[in-house]
Amino acid sequence: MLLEIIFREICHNVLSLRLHISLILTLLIFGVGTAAFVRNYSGEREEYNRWKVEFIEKNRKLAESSLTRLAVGRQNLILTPRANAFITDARGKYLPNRFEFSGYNVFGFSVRPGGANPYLSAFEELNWMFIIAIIISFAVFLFTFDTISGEKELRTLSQTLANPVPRGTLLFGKYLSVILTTLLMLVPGIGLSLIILLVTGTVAITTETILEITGFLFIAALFVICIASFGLLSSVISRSSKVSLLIALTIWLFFVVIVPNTAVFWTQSLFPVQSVESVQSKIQQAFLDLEKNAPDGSWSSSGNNPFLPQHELRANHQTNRMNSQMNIMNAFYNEMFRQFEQARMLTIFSPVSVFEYLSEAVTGGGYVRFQKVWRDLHAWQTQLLAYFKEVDAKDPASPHWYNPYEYFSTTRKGANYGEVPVFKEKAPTFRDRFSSAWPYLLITVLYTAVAFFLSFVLFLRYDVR
Amino acid sequence: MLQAIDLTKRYEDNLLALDHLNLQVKEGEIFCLLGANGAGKTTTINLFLNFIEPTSGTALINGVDVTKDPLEAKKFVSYVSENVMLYGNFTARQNLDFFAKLGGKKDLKKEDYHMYMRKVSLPEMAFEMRLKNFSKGMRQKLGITIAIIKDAPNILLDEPTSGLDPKAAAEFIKILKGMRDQDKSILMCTHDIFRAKEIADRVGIMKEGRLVMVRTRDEFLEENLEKIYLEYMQEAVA
Amino acid sequence: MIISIALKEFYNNLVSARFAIGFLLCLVLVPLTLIVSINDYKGKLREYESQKKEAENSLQVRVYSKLHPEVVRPLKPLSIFTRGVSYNVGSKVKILLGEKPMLSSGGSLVRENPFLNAFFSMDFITILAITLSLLALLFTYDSCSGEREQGTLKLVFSNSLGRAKFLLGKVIGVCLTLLPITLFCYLLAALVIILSPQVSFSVMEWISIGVLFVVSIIFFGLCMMVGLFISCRLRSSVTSIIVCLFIWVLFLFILPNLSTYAARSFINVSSREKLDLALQEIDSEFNSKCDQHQKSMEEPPYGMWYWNYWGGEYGDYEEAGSPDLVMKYHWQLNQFTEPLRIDYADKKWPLQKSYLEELDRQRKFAERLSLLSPSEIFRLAASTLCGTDVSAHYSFLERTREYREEFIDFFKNKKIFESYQYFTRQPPENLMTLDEIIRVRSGGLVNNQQELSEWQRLNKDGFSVLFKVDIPGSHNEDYEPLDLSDMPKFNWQQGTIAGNLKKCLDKIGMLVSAGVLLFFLSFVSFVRYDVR
Repeated sequence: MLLEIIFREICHNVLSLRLHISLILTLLIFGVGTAAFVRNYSGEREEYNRWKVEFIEKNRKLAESSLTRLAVGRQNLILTPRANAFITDARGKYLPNRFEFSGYNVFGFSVRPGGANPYLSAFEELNWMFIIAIIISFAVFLFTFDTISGEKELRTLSQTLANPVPRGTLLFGKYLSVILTTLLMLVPGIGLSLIILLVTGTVAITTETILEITGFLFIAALFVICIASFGLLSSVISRSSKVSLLIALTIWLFFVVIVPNTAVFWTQSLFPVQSVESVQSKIQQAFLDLEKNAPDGSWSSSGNNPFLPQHELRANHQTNRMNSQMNIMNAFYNEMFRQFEQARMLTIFSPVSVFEYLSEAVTGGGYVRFQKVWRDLHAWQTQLLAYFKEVDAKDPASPHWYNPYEYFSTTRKGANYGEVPVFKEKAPTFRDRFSSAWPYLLITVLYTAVAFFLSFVLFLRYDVR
Repeated sequence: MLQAIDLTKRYEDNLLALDHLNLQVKEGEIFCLLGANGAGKTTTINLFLNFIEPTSGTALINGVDVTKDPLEAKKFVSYVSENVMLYGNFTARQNLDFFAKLGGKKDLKKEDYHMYMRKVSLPEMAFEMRLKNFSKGMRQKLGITIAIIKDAPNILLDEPTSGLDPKAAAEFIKILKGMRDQDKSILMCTHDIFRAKEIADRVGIMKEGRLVMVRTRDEFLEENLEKIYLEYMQEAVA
Repeated sequence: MIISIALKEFYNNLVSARFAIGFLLCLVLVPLTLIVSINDYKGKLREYESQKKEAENSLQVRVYSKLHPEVVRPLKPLSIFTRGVSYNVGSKVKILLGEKPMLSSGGSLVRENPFLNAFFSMDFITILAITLSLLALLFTYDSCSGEREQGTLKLVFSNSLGRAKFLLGKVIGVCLTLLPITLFCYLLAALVIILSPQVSFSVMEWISIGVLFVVSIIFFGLCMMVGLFISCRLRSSVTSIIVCLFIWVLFLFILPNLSTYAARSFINVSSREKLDLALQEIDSEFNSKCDQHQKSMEEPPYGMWYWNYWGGEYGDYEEAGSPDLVMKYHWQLNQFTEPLRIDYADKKWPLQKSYLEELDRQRKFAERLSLLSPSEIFRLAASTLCGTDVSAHYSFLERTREYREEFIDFFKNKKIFESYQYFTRQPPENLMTLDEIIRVRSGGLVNNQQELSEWQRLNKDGFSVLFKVDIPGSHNEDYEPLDLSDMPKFNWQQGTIAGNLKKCLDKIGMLVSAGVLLFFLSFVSFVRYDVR
């Protein structure tokens, strides 16, 4: 009986106008979105490669002229454009994607303005996640809002239930059929997108990409299941399909507009962080204190004499300055991270936001990637510093007084760039991604279960007359 | 007076819904149009109301051609549809008020509406009740009340007693008789032979778009109307 | 009769569930959005305050070469209603001799935590557009099809009523329904603003809001016509609402993003880095010309140091206490370099201009594509009315460029490049020779450069001998900031309401004509509408 119901529902859905319009719309957006992505990506890739070549050249020159210059030189690392950003860009352009570092420390991060046009407003990229989060979720609500209340009005519900059909079976059959129809509807769009990618050859489809695509399709299916349960709930709450529609639209607006929009406000009100001014003044105060307590001669220097005793004082002083500044900055950064994570927590009321974060985790982009690079960069910097100290130790012309900002008292010899540890950006591991994703997976499953359970309970008492 | 002169309607899919209908309903006369589903009864009413255009022929209401001057023609006709739905969120009186204004009666007061509703034996408690809570019989009564208020010389009714219980149907017929006595021309399409026999001055049987038989009251009271009707219907089946 | 139909429609809508839910939605969304916008505005205000302070500080300079006035565009309180571009572009412009102002700085929505920029927020007008358009569609999608299904349509048309009158009555009825909702939204917004301590609107702002209200009415009128038209084309209400809702999602959620994304992807803008490199090359050319000229001049005896020399990133510097020949040398050099610097700024400008034109082309493409969506037209008109649109910002930047010319004229007229005050406040008559400086500072221990070198060789104590006696007036800090009361001040008139209205008249016209066209098409469709 369940199979019959599912079959009937799917036939009905496939012939409906809603499916046709959704299909056309999603095909269009998949096509345009992927085409735009391909253009953007090749441009970004080119720009990145140019930057990389310059970066390596610059570092090579520094390393070969004087290793100290390499260790002390402040550099900016930019993130590689992600090949899987056609699935989701995970707000990569708005999250910090540039890191300032030297051999002695990782100083901070910022958002690259890149080729951003300040006269263009912020926008969402038309990637797979956007299509599913906005268009598909809307379509699912439109498929489900009158699945019960509409049938009641047409009087076919009473007709069906005049037969020995358990209510649970009917409800579940409708539920499954909507999910299957929606997933079926995604196939042409995703197929088109993949075809565009393969034909243009801009993006190499590796095993990892296939795994990520599979993972994404899994969470997309989970998302569709979740939204369908809310759609079902809206249909079962009311006896009138018009009211069901209103409820469905309200829920959709809540998920898509209200929750994401107000997230920042709630976060800033409930979990404020200290201001940049207060951090700066803390740093200034720390510098002043260090200045007061620094021994005389801490600022003396002589370009010609590395072994000038004041150089050791200067090196210590600069090291102290760096440490006190970075302690304050790192505390501030941790506050920022925490606030951002809390902001995300506040948006879990919307399955659409949760789906966004899951997509980010699956593709290893956005915040997950940021944290990975942040950690890896720190680890690499430690490696680079150790290497530098090792090479410096071998130089008798160096007093080995390590000064994080200046060239006075460490080796002036160059080194073979091939031996210098080079930072390789690695994608987040499965473990990284899963540890970010599992709370959101649980939440989605919880929402689905609650919404479906409520629908079930309400449908058992639903008046079909 | 209602007149159909060679009224013909052929739809785009070549279905001949009405074939040269010639019909006249005089003042103070109730003409019942009988026929199977799809025989052309509702099409006739739709043509009189200018809801569709005739392929050929003319429909006249009080001598006004409904195709040439529909707005003028509609001043002289009231209509009661098969399933009177009206505006569910409005009360009975509010519905009457709206349709009365459309029908040209602008100055009626609450008491007037109550009086009309009493005339058709609507229960008092229903006067200010929302229409979504009305039974079918009550809704049909409200439908005829709209026609009474408009007080047009011609009335078109489409299956007015279908789905009504015998008591409600009898009350409805009584009201129609009253209106006939006010010299109104009434064209009523129905399956209900019993009511048709009870009320009609003349009866016509439609079959596949044609008016195949017309009998006056004296004639069909003599004959067995049910038998004739069924015979015609069986021929249709055959 | 039209009135009867309109009143019937109005009352019918009033008691329906959609009115209640729509009302509730507005009740929740409007204050929430405004509070969020006001919060963001507070952040912008903080940034503005600190920029203003910096601008004031930029005038506290002792020498003219360090004078880089900063100009800050005043914050528009109406940006609470619609941000336009005002939160993306910065509001600070530095006036430099060596470069014309290209873009303002300090942009991007100011949040202490850059991660929070990953959360987009919609402004009041966007939320209003979403809500109003949805409600308009929900109230009109079944104007014809719904009544037909109900059976009341044929009952109505069994009376002597023309189709145009009926349609008009319907439209007026829906207007009567939605007018109070829109008014309510604006009144609620006004209440929230009045109750917020950080925000104060002047009369101009309130009038602008009034005009905005009228434009909102026009917008939702257009949305109503869309719903009406679809209802007149389709016989089934269910089909009608499905089509309406997909159109709604397309125009409000997809098209705005699509137009910007397509513009970014398909309209090329050369990279900022490339432009910066090209500008740097021109600067290098300037620097090498200066170097060349410098080499052609006779080098003064520097001694082994500069006293109190502070250089800046724009080639500005300040010095005091240097030997007279050194000062004269710089004085002569300035008369070559500074006018040349201004010439090189003019050389850089064509490159900057073409970059700006590319940005504008990309933006125009996005804007034109987005005009397919009525809500985007509405938003663009709203941001013009609130003074947060691109053209207002362009006029601000134009004004800063004009101001730079005034500033340069001020320098030229006052012959500042030819004045010592360009780089030092030490009066020229107080300048001392190198030997004199050495003698006085060492307290007579050494009397000239030669003796100093000898002393250093013997004593290995670096320069401490030169710190025995201080010469007053040989430190930059000894002098007060310049008196700039005769310097031209930057003034800029923000657009007037009438001016802004004129600028967006074309967009309002688009909304009105689209509405009229749709009504006409609805009427044409409805005349043949099968009422059975």
